[in-house]
Amino acid sequence: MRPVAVVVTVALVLLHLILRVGLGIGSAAPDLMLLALLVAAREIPLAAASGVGLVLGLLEDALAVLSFGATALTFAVIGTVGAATRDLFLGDSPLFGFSYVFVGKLARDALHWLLLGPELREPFVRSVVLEGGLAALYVAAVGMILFTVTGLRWDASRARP
Amino acid sequence: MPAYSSPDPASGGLRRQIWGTILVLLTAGSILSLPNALQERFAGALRSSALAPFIALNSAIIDVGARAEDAERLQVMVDSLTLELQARTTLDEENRRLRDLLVLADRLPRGWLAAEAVRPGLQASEGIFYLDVGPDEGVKTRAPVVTREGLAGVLRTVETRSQAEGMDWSHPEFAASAMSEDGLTYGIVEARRGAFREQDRLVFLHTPFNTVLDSGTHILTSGRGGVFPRGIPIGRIESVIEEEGGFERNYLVTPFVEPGEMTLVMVERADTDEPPRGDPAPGDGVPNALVSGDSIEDIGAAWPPEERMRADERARMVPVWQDSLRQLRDSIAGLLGVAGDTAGPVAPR
Repeated sequence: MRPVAVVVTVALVLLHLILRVGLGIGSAAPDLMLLALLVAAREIPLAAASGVGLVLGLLEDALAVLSFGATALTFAVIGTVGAATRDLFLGDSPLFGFSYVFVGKLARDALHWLLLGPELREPFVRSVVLEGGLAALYVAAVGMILFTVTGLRWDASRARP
Repeated sequence: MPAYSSPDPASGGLRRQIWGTILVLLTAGSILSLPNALQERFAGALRSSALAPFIALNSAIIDVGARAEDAERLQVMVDSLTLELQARTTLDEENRRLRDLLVLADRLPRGWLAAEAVRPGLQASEGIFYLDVGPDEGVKTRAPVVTREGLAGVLRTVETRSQAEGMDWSHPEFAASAMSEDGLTYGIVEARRGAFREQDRLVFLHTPFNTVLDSGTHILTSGRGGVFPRGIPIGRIESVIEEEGGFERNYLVTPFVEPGEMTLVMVERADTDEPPRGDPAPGDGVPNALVSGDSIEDIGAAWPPEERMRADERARMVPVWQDSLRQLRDSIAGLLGVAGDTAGPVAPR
């Protein structure tokens, strides 16, 4: 894992916890925890990515009252899939970066919605399509800015010797 | 440094990665299906360790917000109390004036009317006030106007049905026959302008040279001249200002009545059953010094010597009276075996 990716991942996790837990601004802050997982997943092995997803998901679940474990499993799956995209997409274009984060966020919300108990689920269209779509756009935009500022690219030609 | 790349499928690394991932996913799934109590214990451990600094930050921010809200709420309460206190101060002042008027009305003989004095406040009408009583109420020209503190002025004209114009003691044309409180020194009291209106004073003129009045001696109306009844407090001697030709002394007098504070007054009505001034019945004990036109009526009892003071001096004494009444009430309560309430307000009479 490249040092810049480590710094970005750790910083995103800390910032997410400060904004959402410390300052309590909730969904006004983008889902930086997921963004950190998506960045890390492109930089570490498959099992490690799922493990990082599990740990980050547990941190989020610790603050949830009724659905402990749902985010952990969701993040583990997202981490796994994110690492698997390494072999499917090069990841050196801005379009990929935006789509990667946008789809990752939608997938996270949809999977989390599925893992919640029926009594906890809100209407799918509202919680996943509408609110999840807006949140996905939000975090994808933040991701684009992040990739531009940090210069994070996943160029397979450079990766493979 | 190049980005990480997946291991070659031909090597065993990929298989290990897949098994590791399956293990992680199974672990995540098992966590999801843990009993609630165990999940809660796990979550609690995370909250008290990794998440503790962020939760503490959240608590601190909430505390700061709560304190800010408390400060705002307290500020609002302080503002409300201040407004209430200011309104109450005005109300207290009005109550004090009304009480003073009631006390004075009880002490004066029949034939005195309560009236409200309004001052025009124009530069050309300094020393002038208007009363809301007039001929309809039996008020006539030259009727004396008094307050709880003493002599305020005299009516100049009665105008419409219920209005009269008067001049207070600061008017240049004001004059009253006066005497010292022991009745031994007589003279005339007139207004003397100061550099500012606040410095307006009265002067006690034409007193005999062989009598000396000490500072603080009270000056009352003498009843001579027929305008003012005898015994109305005017003011107190401040100092000697002139000694003219070795045959008379003049004194500066601090008046008891502050014209600016004169809002509620008592004015004498003309159509009373009292014997008219200046026309004493023969053989009724009137001093020989009286001549026609002098007043035999002494209303000095309405202003006992210990209560002759300016309004601001009386206002300053109110808390003292309140404390005394409170102590008296506590003493009575103690005698009766009832706990006294020293914090409760006591309305001064």
